[in-house]
Amino acid sequence: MDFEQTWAILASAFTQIHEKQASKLSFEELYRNAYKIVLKKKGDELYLRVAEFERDWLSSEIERRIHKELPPQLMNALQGRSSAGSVGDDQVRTQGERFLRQLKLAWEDHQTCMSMLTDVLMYMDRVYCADTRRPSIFTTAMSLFRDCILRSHVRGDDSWPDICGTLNHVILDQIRMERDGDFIDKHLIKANVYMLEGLYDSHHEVEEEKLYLTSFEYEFLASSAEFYRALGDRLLKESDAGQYCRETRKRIDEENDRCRSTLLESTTPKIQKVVEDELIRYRMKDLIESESGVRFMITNERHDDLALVFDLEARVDPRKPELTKALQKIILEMGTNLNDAAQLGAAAEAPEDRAKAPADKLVNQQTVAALKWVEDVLELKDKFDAMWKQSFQSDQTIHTAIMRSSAEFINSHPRCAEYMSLFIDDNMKKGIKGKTELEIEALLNKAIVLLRYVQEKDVFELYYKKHLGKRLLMGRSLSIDVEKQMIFRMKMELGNNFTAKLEGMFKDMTLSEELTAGYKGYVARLGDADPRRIDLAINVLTSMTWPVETTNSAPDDARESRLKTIYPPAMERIRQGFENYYKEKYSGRMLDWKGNMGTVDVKVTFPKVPSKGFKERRHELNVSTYAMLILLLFNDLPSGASLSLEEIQARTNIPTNELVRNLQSLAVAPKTRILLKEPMSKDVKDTDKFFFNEGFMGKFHKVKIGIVSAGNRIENDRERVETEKKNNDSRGYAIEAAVVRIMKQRKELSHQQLVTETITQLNSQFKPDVNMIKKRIESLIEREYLERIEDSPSSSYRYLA
Amino acid sequence: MAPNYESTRADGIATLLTGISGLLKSEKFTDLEVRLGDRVWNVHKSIVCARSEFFVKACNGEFREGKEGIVELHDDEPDVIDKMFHYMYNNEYDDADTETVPVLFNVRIVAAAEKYFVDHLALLAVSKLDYYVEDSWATRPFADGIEETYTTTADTDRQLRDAFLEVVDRHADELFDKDSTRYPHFQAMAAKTVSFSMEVAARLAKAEGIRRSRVTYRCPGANCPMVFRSTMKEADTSVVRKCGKCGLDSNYSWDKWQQFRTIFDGTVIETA
Repeated sequence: MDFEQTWAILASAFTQIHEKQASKLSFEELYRNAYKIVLKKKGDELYLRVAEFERDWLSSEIERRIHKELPPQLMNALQGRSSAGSVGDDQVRTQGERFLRQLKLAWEDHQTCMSMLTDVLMYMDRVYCADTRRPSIFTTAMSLFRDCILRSHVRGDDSWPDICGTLNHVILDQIRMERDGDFIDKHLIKANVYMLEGLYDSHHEVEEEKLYLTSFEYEFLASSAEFYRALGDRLLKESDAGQYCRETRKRIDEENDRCRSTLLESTTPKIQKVVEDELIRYRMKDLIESESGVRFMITNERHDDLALVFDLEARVDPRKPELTKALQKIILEMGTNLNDAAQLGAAAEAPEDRAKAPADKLVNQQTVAALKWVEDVLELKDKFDAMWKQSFQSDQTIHTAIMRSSAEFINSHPRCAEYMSLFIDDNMKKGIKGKTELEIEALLNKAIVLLRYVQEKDVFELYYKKHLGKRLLMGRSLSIDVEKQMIFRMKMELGNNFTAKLEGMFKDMTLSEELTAGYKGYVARLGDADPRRIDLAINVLTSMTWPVETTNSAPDDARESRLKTIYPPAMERIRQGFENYYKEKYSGRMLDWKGNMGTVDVKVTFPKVPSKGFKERRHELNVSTYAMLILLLFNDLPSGASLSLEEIQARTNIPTNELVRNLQSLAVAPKTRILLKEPMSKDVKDTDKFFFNEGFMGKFHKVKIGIVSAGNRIENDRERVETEKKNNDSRGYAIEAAVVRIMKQRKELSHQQLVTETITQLNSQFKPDVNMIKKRIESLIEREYLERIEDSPSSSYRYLA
Repeated sequence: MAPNYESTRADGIATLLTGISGLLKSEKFTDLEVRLGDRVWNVHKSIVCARSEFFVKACNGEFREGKEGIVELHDDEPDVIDKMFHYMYNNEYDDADTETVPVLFNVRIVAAAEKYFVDHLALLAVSKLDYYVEDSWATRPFADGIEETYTTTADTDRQLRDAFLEVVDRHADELFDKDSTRYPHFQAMAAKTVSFSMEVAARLAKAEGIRRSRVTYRCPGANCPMVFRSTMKEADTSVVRKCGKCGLDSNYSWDKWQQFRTIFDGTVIETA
């Protein structure tokens, strides 16, 4: 066999194959010839000849065809595009497309021919190449295409990019046109992309060295970043935030489509990141804080736009830091505004006016402000809840953010616990009137939701007990059923501990009704049917269950509290009677009568006053127990005689502050002036004299004489100090109990751990102060519940059984 | 009870194979004509393409064969091609009914299997060859088989070459006798087929190398006259020997053994 002769046969056949005239060629003949060459150990030479053949073919014929499609005009336009660039798009586009088409054709032809050659040269590939570890002839031919075509320079001019660079330019230019809204031939680009995908940067055929990645994708991403950076700038300046979001969404979708239809899907995550970086990640803060940003959207209820903002930021960060931050800031601001407004409302009366304005009026105003605050907080909360559902896909992170900032501003209001309790109080007394069950249900829910935010649950409990106590004793609740529902909900939310005492109060009320009825029966059975018998309705309150201020009349000094109120004999008899009856039922219990809490219906006869033309009038007065004691004193007094405050006190032992309040109701309040005071002034002094007002004129038969500020209202400063002190005391006990509980179980514990565990245990009730915990621990050590462990590296304690 | 599928599986496969085998003989449904001189085989693309990549490419491409449905072979021996097709349809062939002696015939089968990329056929041919090769070492076809192996099959085909080389090894003394009179045909072939001779030489040199690297040691037993040869190396940490004469067990490192090195010109009594 002669090599040259055989090669000549092959070479001529290869030319025919490249010229697409292979149909007459015999595969067997070519195969056999190549086979023989390899068998004769000339595989090496055959391989080199084939490579040479391909190189010649590519760098003469094919290169010429490609370069023909790149007139200087197009090259200049592509070059200029990045800097100035205003050459007629249409022409550049047509020329570019022709270039793409030619390149696509060349590549496809090359592949077809090479796969035919590879078939013919199969024996060489399998035997020679495998033995000598050469790349297959196909691979080599592909590299040749890269070197001879893609790396060639048009007209040999190095100052222009090579064909590969030009291809990038053309594709990027077409993509730019499409981004600007033009239509382009996607299939054509895709074919060229496939070529880049099929070629490698060097002869190492590793994934990362694909030309698509090393040459094209990098430039594509870089130019896209530039494009979107500019677009971001423009959009921020020219559009409002909502438009910005919509545009961004559209662009992301477009880039996804582009990867699918024009480029490669493997680019999708990368270009997405570019768009997300340029339009979202780096811009989110500016966008959210812009004039038409989140604050604007919230104010103007742009729910769809908010949803877009959420959606965009969720793409780049599941924690949505900017949106979360903005929301928290806005909620906190809005909340702080509410707090300020509430304080302003509460302090509506300037301090210098306070002396003149009636104290109760001021307090009422404050109570209204407090109620308004709660209503406003609820409204704010509703607004953000709705937004959370509608715009933020009920996202957990956002929810936490809303909860946190709500809790923050609510708790930053020093009186939030009291206000919440007042709000419930107001609704129980007035608010639920005429409401349907569903509405009441919603209201109760709201109350519970608010309660969730309040950190100092113990303070709330204190107020709630106080307010509930008054509602129950004064019969001010519209529906005991709703009251019980409320308690039930609190129980579900905060646990048994929280509601045990509140439930006890209801139990006392029920028991008291039974006692009253039972006592009536008991008296009737005595057979002593006195027509002037006094009816008695009684409430027996368990002293530990009820708030202290209900059961104690807040005495001014200890001396007064020790004095027993003096009841007239008729009253004393009833008192004794009931106590006997009670002791029969419950032996060993002490009854302590609370004159400040009860009310009495008294029939009063006012004599004729001829000078004014008044006839004799009878009125039924509803007065407090103390007022009744005062009025009874005037029964025994001759007409026109007076009693001084001191005298009244000496004969009744009513504590001074209660006495003053009752005398104000009886002698100062214009419509219920049963007594006359001398001198006539608003203040009540020790030396003032009181007369029975024979000339009292009432419009109705029944007259209710209210006690000044008896209803539930906001506390004054003195009361607050009191409440705080009480609360601190009870916190101290709670802390001590927790510490002892923990130590009993753990026996020994370091200081740090003990404090941490104590805080964890008490967190549902209140946030314990670390200093207070320290003091309580000290006190427990003094009382020998605990001892310090000597020579322990960190300070630690041991439980002493 | 009807038989279940599992029990009929083998029968099914057997039927399938019988059906395929029958196709070659019956020439039913053929769609490809293979010519070699005046011999013609009517075969099925589906079968031959499944077994030979050559036919895949021939039928597949843009070439004449693909369009006409005719493949013309050249340079092959009709019997070999016939057996090759038989193998494609039956996965076996018979080498007893050919004119060429089996040693040579099977070499040609291997060559055809490699040329036409017929899967597993070369393996079958080598295993058949193994059966004849030992007994035929002194014959002319043995030498011809070697020559054809080295000129018509790929260098990478070690199995075929080793089958011959091992036999040559065993009979090297005779095949390469000094007078060149007994096996002139073999020696002429060896002179002509350089790559074969190179491989023989390499094998012999390797064996000689092993022989030369042996060192004589004496038995460590006191007064034992036994000597032995060993190829132990410096890296060996434990070389065990039981003396055939005095029965002593010794286990020393190479280092230690060096004390027992000896020069001994007489007959090697024992090798290890």
